[in-house]
Amino acid sequence: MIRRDLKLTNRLGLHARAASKLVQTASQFDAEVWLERDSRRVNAKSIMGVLMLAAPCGAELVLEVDGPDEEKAVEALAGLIERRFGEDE
Amino acid sequence: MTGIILVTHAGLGESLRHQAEVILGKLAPMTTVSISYGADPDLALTELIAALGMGSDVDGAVVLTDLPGATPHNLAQKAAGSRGVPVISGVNLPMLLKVINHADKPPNELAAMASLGGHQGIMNS
Repeated sequence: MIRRDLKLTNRLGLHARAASKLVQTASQFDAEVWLERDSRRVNAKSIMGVLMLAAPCGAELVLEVDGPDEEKAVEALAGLIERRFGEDE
Repeated sequence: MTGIILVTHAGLGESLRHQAEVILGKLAPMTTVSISYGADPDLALTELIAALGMGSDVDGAVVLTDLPGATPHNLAQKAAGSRGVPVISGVNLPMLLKVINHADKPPNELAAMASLGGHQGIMNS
């Protein structure tokens, strides 16, 4: 199991299209993927779960991945967030 | 796969579908049926029955309506009820996203998820 702290840096935060990209990326892996913000913990393969985090720019998240392909999943998801979901700002 | 059929007041279903497709970044296969205020109920029912036939996938279909007790819902209930197709009212964008993402589930399971997704989207913060 891997846990990694992440910070949202794109201007709109975890908005609907960004959440959708995150869910699609997480769903490519067999591992279980969870996201935490403050006391809320959600399944990162569920778009409603991810949207309910209501995480704006600057929000600190904890990514937790558990499964056979956990390392690849963490790299892919952390990379997506670090690249600001492909957004310009 | 379970087919998704949206039966709503004019324009609402198409708009919900469009926004869901923008968010998900892909086309979302579904059938939308708009019932306008001046529509002939008998004609609308015939259209709905045809839409149910076209919109059903291998596992069947679920019907999502906007307002319980309103004509689109009542007609959908009439068309779908006798065919054992679940009808879920109160469609909103969270419900639709949930249903699109889980369309591989059989109709009754998908209906339960639709209800859950719709409720999950209502937050009083």
